[in-house]
Amino acid sequence: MRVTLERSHLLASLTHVHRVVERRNTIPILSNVLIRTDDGQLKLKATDLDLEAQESVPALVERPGATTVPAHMFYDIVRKLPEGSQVSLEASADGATLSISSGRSRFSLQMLPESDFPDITVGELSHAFTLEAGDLKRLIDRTQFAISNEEIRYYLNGIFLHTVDGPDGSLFRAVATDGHRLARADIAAPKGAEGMPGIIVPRKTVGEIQRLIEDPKAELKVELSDAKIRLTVGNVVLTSKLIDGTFPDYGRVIPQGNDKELRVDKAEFAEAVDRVSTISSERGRAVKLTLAEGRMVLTVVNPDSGTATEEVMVDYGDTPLEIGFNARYLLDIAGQLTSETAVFHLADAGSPTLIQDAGDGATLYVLMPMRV
Amino acid sequence: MSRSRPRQLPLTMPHQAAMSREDFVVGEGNREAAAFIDAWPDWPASVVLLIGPNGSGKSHLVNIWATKSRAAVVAAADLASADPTVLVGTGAVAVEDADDPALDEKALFHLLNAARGRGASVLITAHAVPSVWGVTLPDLLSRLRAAQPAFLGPPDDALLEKVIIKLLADRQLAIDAGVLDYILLRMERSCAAACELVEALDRESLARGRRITKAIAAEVLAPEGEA
Repeated sequence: MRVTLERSHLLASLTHVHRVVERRNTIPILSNVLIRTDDGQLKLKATDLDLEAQESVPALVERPGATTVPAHMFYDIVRKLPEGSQVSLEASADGATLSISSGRSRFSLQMLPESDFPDITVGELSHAFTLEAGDLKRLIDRTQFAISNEEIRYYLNGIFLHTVDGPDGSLFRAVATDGHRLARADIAAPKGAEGMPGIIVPRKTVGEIQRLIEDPKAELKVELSDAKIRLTVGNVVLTSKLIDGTFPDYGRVIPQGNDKELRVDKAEFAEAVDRVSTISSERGRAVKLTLAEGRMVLTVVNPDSGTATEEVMVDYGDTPLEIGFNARYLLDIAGQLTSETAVFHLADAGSPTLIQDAGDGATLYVLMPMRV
Repeated sequence: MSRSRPRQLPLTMPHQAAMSREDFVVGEGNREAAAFIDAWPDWPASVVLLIGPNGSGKSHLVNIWATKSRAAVVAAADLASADPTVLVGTGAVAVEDADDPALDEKALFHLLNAARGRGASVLITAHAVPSVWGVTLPDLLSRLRAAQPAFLGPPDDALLEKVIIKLLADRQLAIDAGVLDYILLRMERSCAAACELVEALDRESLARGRRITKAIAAEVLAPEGEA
């Protein structure tokens, strides 16, 4: 194999592909990226057996061939080559090393045979649709923070994507929860998505999708079955296994009858939460909200260091209420709200609270309180 | 704010209990009852009484039987508003919690008559034998006494272990063998206690964002105030 290509093309592609490769691998071939010449192009592919990324870049192919080299090292080499340079890749005749040359730099990387490189068996993908990349990114942005990190709850370690019937037609919905908070975001369902199976897209795949979307206006093609998902944007194809679990019937967690409404300036609220939580000895400690007519007092007590309080003017006219929340969770949700005013629907200090943007029903957040 | 450590409350996550025959774990305490369900339609009597405490698997067996026999399933408390001829329409009917004080005795009697007329099988569940339900209608009592009882007894250790694993699997959870042994040595020996315990373990582990450890199990098992 002998090819020459632009360093910028190779780097852009390696940037997308190498992230899939885990830093530590017990199976050596999984540390490598597959490179294969293909009709005026160089194809790059990386996998961790659950997620696979591949991309093609234009290249001058002098001698066709394919091989694999360590992905992170290859990426680091190309990254450090000068901008605007050309990179030549040449496999040695004995199949042992790949030489990478650019300007006066020469590298030689050990190869592993292409034939050892694993493929994710995709099987039949039952549903296919396209949507604007920015729409999917928005769904991910709104819900990703609520994905559970707890391995034992493997069925919560991703975003649940499915379609539901809405008042004005079918909706494409993303839901994530870690058992303490839940985020739900909707967009109008793209044509072809109706009737798709509900799928749980793993956290790592979600992160890669989000990073891949550079141009929100780009068209993104989604193909899926109940076991796999494939996303194509530009020259990049991401194929991933899905989480083999049942997402909980989340609708039963979303409170319907919370009758105490609180409206607060989102930025002012988030700043106040951030300030009073400084007194906490660790992040994620409780902040108590004391609500009375027209005002909210935020309090943090840390028996080891002191106390903090701040008063915020709010729109609240119901009976006084004291309720505690994890400060970090409040900030996470405030960080996702897009309108100036945050609307809280509360019941009592032991029940889930519903939080939404003023005037936006497409996204909602459910937050369980802390007992303070 | 109190000086005790603030505690995160978890969302009440719904789960789906697996209710098929393959999911019913059989052991010493429930072998006889499961055998009756498996033997249908070769029953020694047209009316079978499933008798066992809360959590012993009565509803699960009713579900298995209803799937197999296409039986209508009705709560005893709802019998009064149901049409007995419709209920026995498929040739099989299950009545749950017949010892519920809300039972309309006449309605149950009419149902048994309708079943007899139709040649239908009837499966009735209760927590105890009919003589202690306080039935006042003598004809109903004698009909219930003539029914074939099948008892769900307390679980032995092997069954209790399988029940806990099944209840955890319903919640898509698993625990280490060491934690399971720890629990089995210390818990009350009943299926109802197993249900409550697994629910509490799930909730506590969700609240803390941690797997179910011995420390969590110890707190959940400790009597109120000792945790």
